[in-house]
Amino acid sequence: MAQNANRVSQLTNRRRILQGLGALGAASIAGCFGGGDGGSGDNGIDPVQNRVTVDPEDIVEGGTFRTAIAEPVDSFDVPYSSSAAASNVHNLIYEGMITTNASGEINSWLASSYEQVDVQEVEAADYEDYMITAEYQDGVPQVDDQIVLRHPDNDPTSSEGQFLTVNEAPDAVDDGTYGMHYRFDLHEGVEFHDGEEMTADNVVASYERLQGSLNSGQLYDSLLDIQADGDYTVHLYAQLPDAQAIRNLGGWEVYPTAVTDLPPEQNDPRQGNTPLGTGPFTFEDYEDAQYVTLSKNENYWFDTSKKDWYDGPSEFPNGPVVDEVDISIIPDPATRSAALQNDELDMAYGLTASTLNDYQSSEDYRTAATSGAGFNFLQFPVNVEPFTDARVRRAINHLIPREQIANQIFSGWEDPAWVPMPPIASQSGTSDYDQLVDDLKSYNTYARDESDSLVQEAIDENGWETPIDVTIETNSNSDDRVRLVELIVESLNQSDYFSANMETYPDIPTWAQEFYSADYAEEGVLSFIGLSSGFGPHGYAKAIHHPDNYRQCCNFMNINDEDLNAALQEARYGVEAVEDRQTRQERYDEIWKMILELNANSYGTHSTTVGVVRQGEVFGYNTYPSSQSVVPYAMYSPADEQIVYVDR
Amino acid sequence: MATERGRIQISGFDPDRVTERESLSDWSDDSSTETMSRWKRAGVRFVHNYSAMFGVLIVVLMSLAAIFARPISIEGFTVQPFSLAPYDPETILYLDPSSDVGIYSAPTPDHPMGTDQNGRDLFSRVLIGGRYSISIGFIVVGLTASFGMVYGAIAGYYGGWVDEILMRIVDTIFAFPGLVLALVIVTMLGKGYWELILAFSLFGWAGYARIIRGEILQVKQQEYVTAAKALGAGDFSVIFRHIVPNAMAPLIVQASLSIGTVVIGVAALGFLGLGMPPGTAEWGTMLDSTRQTLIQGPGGSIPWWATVYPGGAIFLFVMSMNMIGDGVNDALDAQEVGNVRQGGG
Repeated sequence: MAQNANRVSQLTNRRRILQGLGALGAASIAGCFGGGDGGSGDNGIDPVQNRVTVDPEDIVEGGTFRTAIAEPVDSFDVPYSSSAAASNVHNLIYEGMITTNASGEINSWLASSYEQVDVQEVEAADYEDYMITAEYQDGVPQVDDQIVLRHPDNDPTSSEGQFLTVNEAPDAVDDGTYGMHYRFDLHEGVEFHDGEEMTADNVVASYERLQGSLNSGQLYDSLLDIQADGDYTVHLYAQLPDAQAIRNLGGWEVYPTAVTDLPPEQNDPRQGNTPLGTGPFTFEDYEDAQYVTLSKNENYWFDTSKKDWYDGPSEFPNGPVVDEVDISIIPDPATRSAALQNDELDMAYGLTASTLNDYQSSEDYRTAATSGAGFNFLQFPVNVEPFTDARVRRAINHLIPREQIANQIFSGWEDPAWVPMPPIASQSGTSDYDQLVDDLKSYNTYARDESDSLVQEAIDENGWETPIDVTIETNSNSDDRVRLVELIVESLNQSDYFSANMETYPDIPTWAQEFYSADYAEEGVLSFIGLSSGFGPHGYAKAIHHPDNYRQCCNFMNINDEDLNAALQEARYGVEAVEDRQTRQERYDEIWKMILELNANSYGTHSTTVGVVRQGEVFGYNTYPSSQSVVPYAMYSPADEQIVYVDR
Repeated sequence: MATERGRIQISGFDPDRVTERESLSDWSDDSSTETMSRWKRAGVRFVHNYSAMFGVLIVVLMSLAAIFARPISIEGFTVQPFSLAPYDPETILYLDPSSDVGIYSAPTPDHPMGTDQNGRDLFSRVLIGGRYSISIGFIVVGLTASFGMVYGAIAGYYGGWVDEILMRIVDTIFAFPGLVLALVIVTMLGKGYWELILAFSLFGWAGYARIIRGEILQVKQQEYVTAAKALGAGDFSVIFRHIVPNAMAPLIVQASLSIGTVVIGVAALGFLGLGMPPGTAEWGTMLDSTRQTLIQGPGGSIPWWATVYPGGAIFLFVMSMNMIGDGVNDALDAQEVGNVRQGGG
């Protein structure tokens, strides 16, 4: 599940990607799923609402499961793919050493077991002895090999800096300089689709395939080095003691030699190469922008008896039961909805909220909803007056009618974002989510009087003129987002203190050219966009606040609050954060409060992922929290005893 | 022989018969009127064309509704204080806790056209929507017809290589469908009122240029033009005082028919999401924002009011403009013999 999609990378050149490694793993924008996020993975609360289960005795084998994704598969070569929709295809073909269930629990997968061998107090500066010196050109380090770490004292505006690359990292490991050490023991006898047996060398080669790729930053955010030990043991070393290292490191796709020998971006049927993995489905056919077909892997390696963590019935199948998965590519939600009603699809997701209500009240369909891993948010230009004043930002925050947004625009399918973290991340993100909401809700209530007094106070002090001009930018290809911004604009315009308007870009890639530019933070406009992160809390806080994420996803406005930065560092990195979950939870509780006091961002709603299936034909369907793995999760996820069968 | 010489007798001429006979013509000094000008004649014919007058009525009503829908202020000074529309077109009604309407509320006496995708009063939005479509239509046609007239007049009058170059440019423009060119321009410039005007104006003049050139090739052969030249009139004066006024009729017909075309073009771009910014109360943009409702879930009912009323407004306006255009065409058509009195003798 660790395909980490990110549009950011698509829009920046290779050098920039290498330079910007650190932040890419955390989170991403607008429907893409940033995988690497923490959460230690037990006692998870199932985010699937009204989960349906299947009695293994009722299962009917065979048939075709038909569904649709909204975008073409940008690449079958995962290190070069940034599409969340495409991940639904990838995750049917490829697998990693670990897997994650719907509540974020991590289980071994291609690995029979894994263990955290060691954790030690190490900082980035401790790697100084192994670092090489390289020149900066226009702020970009001139290093050909994959950068693993940069010296904390590096200044990109100076002529040179110090860097640890993949060439020097093994030396550091050999000397015992690393933050964490994980050992993975692989299952023996696992075969790829081309018949090759999986070994530790395949795992190492697969991880190395990410070097210099579009998604390299998401792995080398944490990874120091990976080493094979014999045929079936892999050692992973993390740069720092990191509470979310396992999730960042463990789940990357493993490919056979036939794939790892290919040049970059060539693992794709359009390049004449069949995508190969160990997954439950094998690739059959792809027609660009039309459809993908996959057939059941008859030689699938998995067996529930191989897994200690599996505690379901022994009759539960050892792989998916449908013979074929047909995935159409249908961008328009209304067209997907029509295809579902015309019996061209068995399952559709990403439909508009008002349509979902119709499906919910119909006896012929079942809506399967799951609390999502993201939220939408409004980011303030914190370096431009009068938004430099937290009172002005908080005044605007109090004019966001979250309940109306959730009820009217999302027809009740999404929840008001009373806190800056969706419930799915609550395992590590708070000691008590309900208490957190009770404590912090007052920051985010719709309160016009409170808003007026806050802004009046700021105006009196600074002598600013009213009404304050507020321009909110968003992307116009999301109807719901446009409606939401219209509502906020209208709400602001009803106040005497603000004069608001909306400006739109046709889509996120077009807009991204602006919001990743150096000038954007100084333009004085507010951005409204969505953030999708993972099961852990860190990404939700860091991605939209930390200077590492400036000009990346998603600190567009150069937000830089030293106290918050320090608190974030403390909550995730360090031996104590790794070993003591409660301490970590308490630290995040403090962070959410700091974030709401700062109010550099305002939050709209927490997302929900909803799939709709044909009742009486498709059985056992439940939706994964992230739109990145809706189809693979439904097909077969024994950790949740999740399986879909078709009986027409 | 007695002859009477030297006397000429005219027989058969009876002056009384001439003076007292019945008049061959009903002309008399009293009945004489001044010659009616071509334009006046056309005006009379237009006024008697009932379908055209119905079109005028609709267009005037819609224009007045658009103007008086909400107050108009220019630099803080209210130039139009009336407010026909019951609600501000931007007001999201459900934001008021006491309001009982939501998104896509069906028509009620309070909201005769229901509410739109964001709970705004559709009647108010349809009324004010005319401000964009109608004004863009008139401005674009004004600009393109003026420029096309000058361009075509120069090409037709001077002829030769000037004509050759100018008309090849026109041919190049005609090689592309007008809406596609407008779409390209809007994509490049972005959405907005003036951007739309530019998109339709930048190449929209070519049709007028071609028409006026053809007319001018005919008119410049007339003797009064030669006479004007012989009397020493300059080119500018000859073109714009003597030729163009006599070549205007087809241009006016074309212009009146084009207003409807431009309005529907603006609506088309709006529907494609390339017209005005989302949320603007422009008819085409309003249709675009409800596009997703056309395919509902099972058992779902389409909020017909959200598409029927803005669509109906576009239909009504364009239909009326076409009726006016046809009326103008009939009124100015020199080939047609109508009700003008003929002389006799």
